[in-house]
Amino acid sequence: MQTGTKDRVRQLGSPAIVARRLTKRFGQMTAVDGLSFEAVPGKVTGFVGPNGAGKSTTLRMLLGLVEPDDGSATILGLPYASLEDPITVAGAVLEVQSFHPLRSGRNHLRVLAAASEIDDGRVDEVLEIVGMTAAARRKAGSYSLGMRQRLGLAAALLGDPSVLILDEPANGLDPHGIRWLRQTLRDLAAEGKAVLVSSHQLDEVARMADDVIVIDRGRVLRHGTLAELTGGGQTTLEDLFLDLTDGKGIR
Amino acid sequence: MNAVLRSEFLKLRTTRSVFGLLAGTVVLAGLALWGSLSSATPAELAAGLTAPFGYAGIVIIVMLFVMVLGIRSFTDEVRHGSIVPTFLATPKRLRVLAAKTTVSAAAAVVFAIAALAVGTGVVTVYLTAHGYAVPVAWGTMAWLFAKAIAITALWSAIGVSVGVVVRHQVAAIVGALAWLFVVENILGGLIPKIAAWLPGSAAGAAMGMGTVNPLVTPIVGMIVLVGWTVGGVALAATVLRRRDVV
Repeated sequence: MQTGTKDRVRQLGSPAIVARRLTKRFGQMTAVDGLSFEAVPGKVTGFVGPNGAGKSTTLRMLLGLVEPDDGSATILGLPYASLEDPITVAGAVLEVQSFHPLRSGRNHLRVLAAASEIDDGRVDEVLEIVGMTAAARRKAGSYSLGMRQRLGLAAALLGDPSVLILDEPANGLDPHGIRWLRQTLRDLAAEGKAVLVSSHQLDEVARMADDVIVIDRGRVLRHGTLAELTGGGQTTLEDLFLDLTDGKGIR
Repeated sequence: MNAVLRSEFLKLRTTRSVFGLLAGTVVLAGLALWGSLSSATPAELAAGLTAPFGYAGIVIIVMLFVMVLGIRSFTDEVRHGSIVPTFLATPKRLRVLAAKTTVSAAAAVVFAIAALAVGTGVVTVYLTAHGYAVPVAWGTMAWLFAKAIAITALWSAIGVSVGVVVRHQVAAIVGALAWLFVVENILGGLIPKIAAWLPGSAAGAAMGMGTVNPLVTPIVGMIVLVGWTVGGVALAATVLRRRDVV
């Protein structure tokens, strides 16, 4: 049934991630204000905005970690928390530090795999995919920032999901790591996955995204293909971004 | 549900802290018992394995350690950020709570059995070395052990709930210890009859350590402790369901 759903989405090219009028208030502050967007299979969608624009809160609402005050978020047509075996549908990396430092990288993945009845063979596969096989049995607390990002991505890939949601995955990566990440995400999109990547590093987004969503103060400012947004290269994503966010840029 | 249980059990096994806590429990229980044996009267020593100096002290030590174990079950994940992948794998959070409570209680049973076994060994060695007979009252001991195991299992579940509600690890552990050793004592001095119903005092009564309130018999103490545990888990479930993970 799960495979059936994935195939149908691939065939139709219908959106894999749908946010409708998502709203979240923290006290007086409205972090996300009626945000609507979609991300489709086979593409990398860049989700950009200044720090504090509401990117992380939005991603957390997509994943059922934060309850929206209004609106809805669905992944392959269902709210994340209603999915049976959710990590086989969507994988996510939200924070660089998401593991117990005394547990080995491999055991961290085994713990998550066990919760979804995924066998240890798949754990070794994803370690291979992210190039972490050699360091897999070391304590995760000893990993460099780049290795932590790779471990996070390995966790997201455990269930071979058709949707990937990544919050600032390029943070802290060195040039090798960034090139590796870009290529990996492009490859995953080429396999037909919907890849949603938040970032405030515009060069990076410009180099890997097919579609771009620009948000500020919890609202969508622009949503289109990279070519549409940059006028086929007449302007840069950076110029557009600074323009749209009142020249304030990254606050 | 079985998958979540397996995952939680694997979490427990794959850091060393549980083994450190177990070692600490056993060593402290043995030392404390040795200490109380040294200051026991000959009449008490003659009573052998089931004398009052024995197992109550061990239970308090095991309670402390399994409470910390239970608190850490959730607060470790908050502290290190692994709560995010945990809830992504199992978005139905009450399943995670149920699994954490079950696994912590199971660990508490192991802790209690280990401490009681070491305690029995220490008493036997001490009494034999001092020329006392060591009569074994199987029935009495089985009842004592069963109560001790039940109390520590419940106590670890209370620990899990405290961790879920408080979230911050140090605050939860310090707060729980302060509650047990300071707050309950102060209230015990101010309003002894009412304070006898509090969780720590109820556990003491259940273990047969005495109470200032004649209504809180050992059986009533155990029922009261079950009540506190159910209340704690219910509160934790409510908090967990509603609270955003940010």
